[in-house]
Amino acid sequence: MPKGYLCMVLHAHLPYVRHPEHEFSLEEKWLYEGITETYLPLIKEISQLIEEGVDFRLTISLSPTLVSMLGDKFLQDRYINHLEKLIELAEKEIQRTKFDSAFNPLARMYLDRFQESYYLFKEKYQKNILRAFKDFQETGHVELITCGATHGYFPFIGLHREAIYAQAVAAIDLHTRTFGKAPRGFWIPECAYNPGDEEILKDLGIKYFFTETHGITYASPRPKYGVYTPILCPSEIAVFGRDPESTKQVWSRTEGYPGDFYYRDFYRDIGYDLDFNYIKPYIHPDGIRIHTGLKYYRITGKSLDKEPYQPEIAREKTAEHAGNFMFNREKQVEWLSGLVGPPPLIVAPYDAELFGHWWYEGPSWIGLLLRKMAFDQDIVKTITPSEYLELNHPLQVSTPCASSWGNKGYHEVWLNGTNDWTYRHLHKATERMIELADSYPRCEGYQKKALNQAARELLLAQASDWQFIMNAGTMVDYAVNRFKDHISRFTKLYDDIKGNKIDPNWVDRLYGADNIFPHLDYRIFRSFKETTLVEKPELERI
Amino acid sequence: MHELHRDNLNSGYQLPLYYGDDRLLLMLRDPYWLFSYWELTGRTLNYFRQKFHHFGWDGSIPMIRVFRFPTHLSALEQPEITFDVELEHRADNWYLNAGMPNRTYYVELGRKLPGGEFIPILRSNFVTTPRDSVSDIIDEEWRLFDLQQKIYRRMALYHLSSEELIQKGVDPEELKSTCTDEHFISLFYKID
Repeated sequence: MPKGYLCMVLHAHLPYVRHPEHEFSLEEKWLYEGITETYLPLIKEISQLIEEGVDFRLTISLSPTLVSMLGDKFLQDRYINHLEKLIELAEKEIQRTKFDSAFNPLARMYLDRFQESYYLFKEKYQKNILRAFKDFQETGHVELITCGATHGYFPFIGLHREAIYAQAVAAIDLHTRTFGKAPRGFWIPECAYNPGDEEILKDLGIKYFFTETHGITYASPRPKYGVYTPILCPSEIAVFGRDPESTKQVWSRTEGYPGDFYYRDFYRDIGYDLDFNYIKPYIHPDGIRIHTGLKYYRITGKSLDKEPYQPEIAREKTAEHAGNFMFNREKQVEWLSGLVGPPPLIVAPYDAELFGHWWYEGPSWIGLLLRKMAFDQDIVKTITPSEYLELNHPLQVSTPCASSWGNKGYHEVWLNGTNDWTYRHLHKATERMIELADSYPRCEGYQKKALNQAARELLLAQASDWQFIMNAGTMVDYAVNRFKDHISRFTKLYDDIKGNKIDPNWVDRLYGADNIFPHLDYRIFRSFKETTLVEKPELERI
Repeated sequence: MHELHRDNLNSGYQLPLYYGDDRLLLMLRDPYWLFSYWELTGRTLNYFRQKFHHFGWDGSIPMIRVFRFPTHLSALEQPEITFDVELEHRADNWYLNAGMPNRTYYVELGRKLPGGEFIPILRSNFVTTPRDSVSDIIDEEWRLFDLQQKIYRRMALYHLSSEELIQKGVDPEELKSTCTDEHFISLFYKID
């Protein structure tokens, strides 16, 4: 019997970015880089773990916007074009570095990786890597959970309770259609929790969600075991709180593993380093230098002088860090098991894109960690939240504290001078959408298409990514324009529907561009006053 | 392709400058700070201008009055405290240093007349600031998660075999709403 458990959670999310109107979209690269650097390497690691018969558990939250993009044929084909160009670039690099003993093996490493990605993406998974996640779920090693439909920030859109319901129900519907099983867990976007929001999730069949550490430590009544056992909201939905110690070891800028000097440097990229005419076909068509993904240096130190990357040494470091993480969890569990009545649980959630995209060696680290945990010790066992709940230990009843996992722990990242102007529009559009859903309980043809498109535009405007990007200060114009576009399109749809002057061609064109949630039914926005949760029995049957 | 161009898709629409509503919203930033935004229509402002013209409306100052309550407020409760924040004339939003975690707030937007009287125009929604420390309440209540409750609910229906339940169209695993049995569970499970 293990003395305690580790629940590793990877939250995979990217905003919905799809621009058929442009030959090249810089922002679509977020998805392509995510596939090449994070999702495929993770799929590769998890597949190997399963093939090797390793006893491990991993919880993965796949946001509905990411699921929608990974399942979109247009983006799948564009990704293949993107990858073909990368392979071409890596082949050229092998020639260019022919006499360079430091860089030539790296160019070969990239070519191998890109070709492997090409095989996995195009041949093995037939362009749809969601199949891989579905397969993992079926083995029982991986628990898949969902998130808000477009990663809406619940405490702020939740002024209208219908908006949270719509975000949750659209997400659960897509997840269930895609993975064949309703999710038991829910990743509240940005862990942004407001007391009472969980009641909507509970009504939709969700069993548990996560909060930031102080969501639990400041809960009331005070949880006896802090974040080391889940608590139960009065509405009977379980809550898992983030462990600060395991978070810090991976996330910390100064002490975290990803900052090791032998790991690959993120910033030095041949897109910036090489001769302009040589690299031109692989950067922005306007000649703006961008990251290509081929990076030849290690972090080396704090100065700008960088040494060539040496994958073998990085691999040794990765194993060392996996061992260190495991050792610390063993010590943590040994200490906690003397204090905590039920077996202590360490919840370690991370953004999935940290692994691979930012921390190049991250996916290998996860693979090595899970192998070591399975074979080298028996104090801590990996577990999913559902399995922990099935251990049937009684849970303390308590209401979590409003919180988020953003900077300073509350809502300031999503509410400050850079982004506060968005909320008056979001609130008004939501109010209007509820009005539309109540006014048109039944409709057909283009009226129905227009109403569904209005719901889509509103959901896309609700994405918390726009406020996040405005706050972060890079690519701000893109976020501002996306937000304005969706509100403008929504407003015209609202006027057209109310004025009975719908333009069918325009509605079709709009769906051609903003095509998320093809099965969406605008009536998910009906006001709580006017209706009951009609989808509830449907969802519970699944 | 050109038909999908952004401007074409927006069909000439832009972000609305205003919505023609009287509206005052209060939002939570953190345990100490609130944010408020508002829209006041010309019609409403004209009404107040006419009503208070002789009391110096044109020389009045826009102001927000903040009302603070303990978290579990009832309709009859008096606020613990109220305080005023003077605004710039053209402002349509303001960050408010509410100053105290674990309290419920609402605000009123109005004008302070030259004589000092506050004329409220709009009242906001309620917002509760979160705690920024551990709770003082240490009462413990423990409950079984619903997975385990199901076992006991199944036991409560012991007179029906699983096969009989299935024949009746009930999945024996899914007995969630068949009975409410907190007292029943407590008979089986004594928490120490």
